[in-house]
Amino acid sequence: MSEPITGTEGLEWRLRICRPAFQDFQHLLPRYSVRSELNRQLHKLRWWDPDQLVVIDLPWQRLQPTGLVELFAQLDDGVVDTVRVLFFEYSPNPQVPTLWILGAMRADETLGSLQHTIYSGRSTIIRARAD
Amino acid sequence: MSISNLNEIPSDAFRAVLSISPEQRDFIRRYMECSDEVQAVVRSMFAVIEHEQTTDDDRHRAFATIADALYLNPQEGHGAYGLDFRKSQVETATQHPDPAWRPIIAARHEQMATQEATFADRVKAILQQKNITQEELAERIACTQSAISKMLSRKSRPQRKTILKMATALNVSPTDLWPDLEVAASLDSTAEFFNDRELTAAQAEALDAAISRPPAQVKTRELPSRAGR
Repeated sequence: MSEPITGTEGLEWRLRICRPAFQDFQHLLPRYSVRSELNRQLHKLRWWDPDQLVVIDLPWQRLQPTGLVELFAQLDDGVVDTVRVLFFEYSPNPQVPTLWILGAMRADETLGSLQHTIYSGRSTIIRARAD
Repeated sequence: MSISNLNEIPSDAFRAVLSISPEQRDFIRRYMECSDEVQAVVRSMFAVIEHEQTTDDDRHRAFATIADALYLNPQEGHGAYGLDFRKSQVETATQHPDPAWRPIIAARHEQMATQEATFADRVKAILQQKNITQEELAERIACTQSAISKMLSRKSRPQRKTILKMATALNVSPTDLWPDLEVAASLDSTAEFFNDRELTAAQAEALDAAISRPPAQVKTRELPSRAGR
């Protein structure tokens, strides 16, 4: 994909979240006010462009070897300062670009092989079941 | 597998199957219904759970992934795997299962909308007053004019660090742009407190000394009111 996920405002697009990612959000950010801040930040993903390293003001980078993407959002929370959100693009219908949110963790947590196993496992489930 | 001789029946395995609980049987049934790829994911999640370096947070994530793999029913009202993120936000605000939460959620959304409107109005006013264009502001804070435009048209909520950069670029106080920022600063100090729990060598020595000190000898005497009891 070489264009923003919504190159034009009217283009149909989807931003979906898997259930374990929702559970990550609730576990990581028990306060609703902070979760709502993160949710608001994640709406910026509609302007995600693989050729730009920042979406509005959120930096992101692609992770190897899984090809998943990590995006960083700063929150006004007393406990978790910055959150790392994992997502990837998978569009079962090529006419409707779709991003999938896979989960979230603290930005200062290690993202090693165990975490890669978890998030790539979630992406495998999405590929097997999403339509 | 075909068994022609009764002696070939794997009786130990059969007894093991008979001894499992209904919940375990349900788990195995669901697992067997999964595709080969999803079964492999479930096995890899158990490997994560049992790994010696796994943290509690990783265990939580791995269990959530297993639950997702084994419970195949789509979320009610969404009709497909996963949830529509935008739709789920609206539903959270208007159809929360606990009615007591609905006004709290609505108030939070109202608060965020007000913050974004105030920010947009104030930045626009300062840009006009100082005769600065959106392109110039974008250049000063190293972002695109398109991003500035989206923030000023309230399509996109700025992060705190973006507000701080803008305040520096416009030579104003951050709270001139986002009045609630002081509250955020006090929350930051709480975060620092949580992150700064490691003792210095001097603090550790002092704590050790305090712990190894013999308890203070306190002389006591009977209270007059309890005398003779």
